[in-house]
Amino acid sequence: MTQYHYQDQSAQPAQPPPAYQQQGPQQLAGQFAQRFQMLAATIEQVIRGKREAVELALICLFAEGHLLVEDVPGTGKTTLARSIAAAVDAEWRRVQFTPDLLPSDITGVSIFNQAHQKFEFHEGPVFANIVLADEINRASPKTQSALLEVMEERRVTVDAEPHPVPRPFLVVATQNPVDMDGTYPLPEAQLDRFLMKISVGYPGHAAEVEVLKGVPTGLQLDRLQAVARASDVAGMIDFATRVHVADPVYDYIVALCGATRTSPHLRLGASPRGSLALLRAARVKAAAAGRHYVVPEDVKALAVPVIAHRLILTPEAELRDVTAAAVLGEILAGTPVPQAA
Amino acid sequence: MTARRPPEGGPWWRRVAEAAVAAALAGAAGWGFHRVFPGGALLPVIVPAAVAPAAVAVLARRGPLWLALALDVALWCAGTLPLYGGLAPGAPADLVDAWQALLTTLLPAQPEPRLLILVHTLVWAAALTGAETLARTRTRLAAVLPALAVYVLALLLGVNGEGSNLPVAAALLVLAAVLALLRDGRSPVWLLAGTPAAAALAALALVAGPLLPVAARPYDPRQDADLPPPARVDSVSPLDRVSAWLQIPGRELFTVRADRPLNWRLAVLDRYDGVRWTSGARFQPTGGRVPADEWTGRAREVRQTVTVEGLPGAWLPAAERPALVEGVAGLTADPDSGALLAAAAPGRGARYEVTSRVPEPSKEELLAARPAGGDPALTAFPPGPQEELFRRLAQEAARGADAPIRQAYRLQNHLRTSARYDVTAPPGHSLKSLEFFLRTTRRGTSEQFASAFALMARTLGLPSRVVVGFRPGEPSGGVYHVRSGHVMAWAEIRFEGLGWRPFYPTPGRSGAKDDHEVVSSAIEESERLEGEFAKGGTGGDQERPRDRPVGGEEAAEGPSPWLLGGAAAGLLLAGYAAAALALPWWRRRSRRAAASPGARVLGAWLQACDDLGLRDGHALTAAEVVARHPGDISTHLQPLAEISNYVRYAPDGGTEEAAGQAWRHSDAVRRAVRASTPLPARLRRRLLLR
Repeated sequence: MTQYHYQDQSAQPAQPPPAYQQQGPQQLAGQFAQRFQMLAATIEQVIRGKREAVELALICLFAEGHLLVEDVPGTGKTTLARSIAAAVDAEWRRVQFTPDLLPSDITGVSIFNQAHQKFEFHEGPVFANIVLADEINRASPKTQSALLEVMEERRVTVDAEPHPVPRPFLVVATQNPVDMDGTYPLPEAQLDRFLMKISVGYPGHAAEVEVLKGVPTGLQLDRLQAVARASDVAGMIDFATRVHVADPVYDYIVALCGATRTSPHLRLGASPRGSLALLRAARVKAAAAGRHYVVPEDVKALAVPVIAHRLILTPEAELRDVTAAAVLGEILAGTPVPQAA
Repeated sequence: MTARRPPEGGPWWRRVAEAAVAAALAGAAGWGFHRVFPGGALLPVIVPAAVAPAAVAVLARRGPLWLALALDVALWCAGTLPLYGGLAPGAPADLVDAWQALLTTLLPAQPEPRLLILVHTLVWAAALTGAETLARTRTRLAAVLPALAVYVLALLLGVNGEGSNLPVAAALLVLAAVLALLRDGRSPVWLLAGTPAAAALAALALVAGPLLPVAARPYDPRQDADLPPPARVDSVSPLDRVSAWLQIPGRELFTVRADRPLNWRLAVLDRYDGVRWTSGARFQPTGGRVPADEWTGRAREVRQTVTVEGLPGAWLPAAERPALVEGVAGLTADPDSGALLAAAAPGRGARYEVTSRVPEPSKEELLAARPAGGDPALTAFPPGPQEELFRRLAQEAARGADAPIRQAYRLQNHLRTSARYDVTAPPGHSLKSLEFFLRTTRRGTSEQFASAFALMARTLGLPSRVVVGFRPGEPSGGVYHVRSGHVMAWAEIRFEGLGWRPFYPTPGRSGAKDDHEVVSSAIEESERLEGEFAKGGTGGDQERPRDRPVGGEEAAEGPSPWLLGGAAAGLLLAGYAAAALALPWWRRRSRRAAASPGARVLGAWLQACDDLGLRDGHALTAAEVVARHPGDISTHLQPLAEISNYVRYAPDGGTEEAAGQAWRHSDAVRRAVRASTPLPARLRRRLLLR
């Protein structure tokens, strides 16, 4: 039987589950969902009208993944990262990636201390709970790979000495789809390290009006109230990893990813890392919906942000302006949802 | 109709199985040509043509279509090598001509490469399109269509052939069902369960198929094909040879090994222009089978082995109506008369075997015979002053006889008694010669007797022709030695339902016992029938035929094919309607009565999906199903979806309470669907069994 450790004392009591449901895990899932929604609502006070993007970013946080945001300037990419940090009372750093940025500028360096007659490690900006890697594609591949190594290993090794990064640890990388001159696009192997790739997009008309109205008197990012501590987030992460997944859902995930590997429109399908990422994200989404079990809806809803950036189209498909999301949509529409346990 | 899974989904064995089914479909459809060609020759052509494109489709499925097509074309060319025994640049031209050649060939056709190329190409094309359709599309049953088209072509081309195509149809049905199951993406358990069901359906079709009205009188494309023109097959008419052969009677022409003596027919002459009798036969190539004539009643089969000795010409002697001829290369036959002709004159020592059907009509059938209508050339009398003489003589001879066969018997008897057989009589069968024979000499050979009889019968409206053949010959050790002196001509009259009946107007040689057993027995039979007429018991009027069926038409008695077909269709419809009503009820009941509460909850959800018209195995999640059905339905669908999701995906199973709630919601969904769906739509959904 799965053990559930997560307890959130500060959260409001969740609604009692229906009589046919198991009480303990369901109540914990309810508390998770309440805290998740509270975080999302707090962040949305700053990022107006982008609830979906906010929730996806939070799913990344609780799934211990990393987020790649691709969008034009001025759509709130940086604000999203800062507001997440502010809402969870976590330490955050920003690194502006430029062509001359060195790996040690991110990870930190060992400097010889004359007084103590030994090398001391000076942590780089990557030692924070939330790291905003702005315009990641402007740095050299060497620097990019240094960050990506930290993302995967969750530690920095300098002079054979490991230095773990704090928990939770979320990298929000941004890249600009226009003005690509002088950039180093991330190769597919490195794109695969990001749990999700999302686009914030322009706000709707009403949301943008709200943004304008809120500028002089609205809630400033610096004054955003933290609604969770970093330790609470770590507990929620632990709870999410214990969300139950039934065998048919495993089969469904494998069927979806398997279909991407045989699609005639795709040169490269989703890797097993993609399947794992989809599973982790689906667990968080289930908990965020107040469930202690994953349903196919969770998988289906996250398939495009989690899988699409890992796919490579065939040249023929690209010529026909077919997108990876469209191919994935076709696969989702053609893969039967498990009907029996 | 599309399958639920993506184009290249599924395990490798399923793709291989699908390609194998495509090959089997094409092969089975190609086997439909077993009524056109002998099976032994067909198999080596069908198997590679069916298997090769299917293998290409599996191996090249990831490559572009043009590559697969190029490989298939190369394989088609390679397939012609063993067929022709080497390079065949004329294969495409043969392919174009094969249709017409097959339509003008009596079945079974000779298994020649120029004809088999058609089967090779059709099977290859069916396997190619079927396998590529399966490999590159999501369609479920479209791959069956090419094989079906080939099967229909085989049916049309082999409609006169021997054997039945129902087993082939059953095989196609089973394969189509297996393909549907495979493409449905279900587990092998379904395949194991579905294949016997498909086989049962095929068995039902096998039983019901012959009851369909169309099966009784199938369309024959040969009716509309351009047949070859009547051929002048010999420079010298066989009838002209009669007198010459009689002058040198000891020349051995051929021998026949048979279990009983019969007259051996050589040539059939049914056109008369006032000077000579000729044949209007349209000879068609045949693999050995000769179609039966219109007589379908009792008949005895006689097998003969003929060895040619000194017989000139290309005509081949055989007894009565040949049904099967073996051992003759380039054989052609006239489907109307049954006369046989070799492509080249058979040399001395040539041997062939013939199986003939000797009709044995009953006395009643003979008495009821009526002259057949149809071809006016069979009753035509050439213009000239002789017609009046022939008519007068015929009427005098047949005076008092109304029944057609009795008229023929009277005519036969008249000639046998009023003239003498004389081998020294001058030859010739022109109108002038026959007038001289009838008026003056009253002496002649069978040439004159048969010709005169046929022409006099025509003046009475009886369709007639002259047959040149031989008496049985001298028996010696089970073999009949037929010499030139055994030549004989006789006449035949065509009766409705009976076909052509022989009449022997030539009297026996004076002073010598007639050793012609066949003629003797025919004459005795005619005298016996005349006696029957004289008794008056059976009467002689022409009304009789209307009172009773003639010959083989007795077989047509019994329930009408339309009635049987209608009854079968009604039975099938009733069965379908019963299944449409019972199956949903049974499914709902079994879901509700499932053993575990969890299974009952799942059953409630599946039942709701069924009621909403969602296909089994759809790609919609429970939330999407709810989102698609707003309003009253979603009020109950939403909680049902939640319970169903919980039971299916949560670690703890369903409870009795959950099952009860689920079915209450499912019933409410059902009621809401019924209330919001018009009756015709509900009926349509009910009748479309899933």
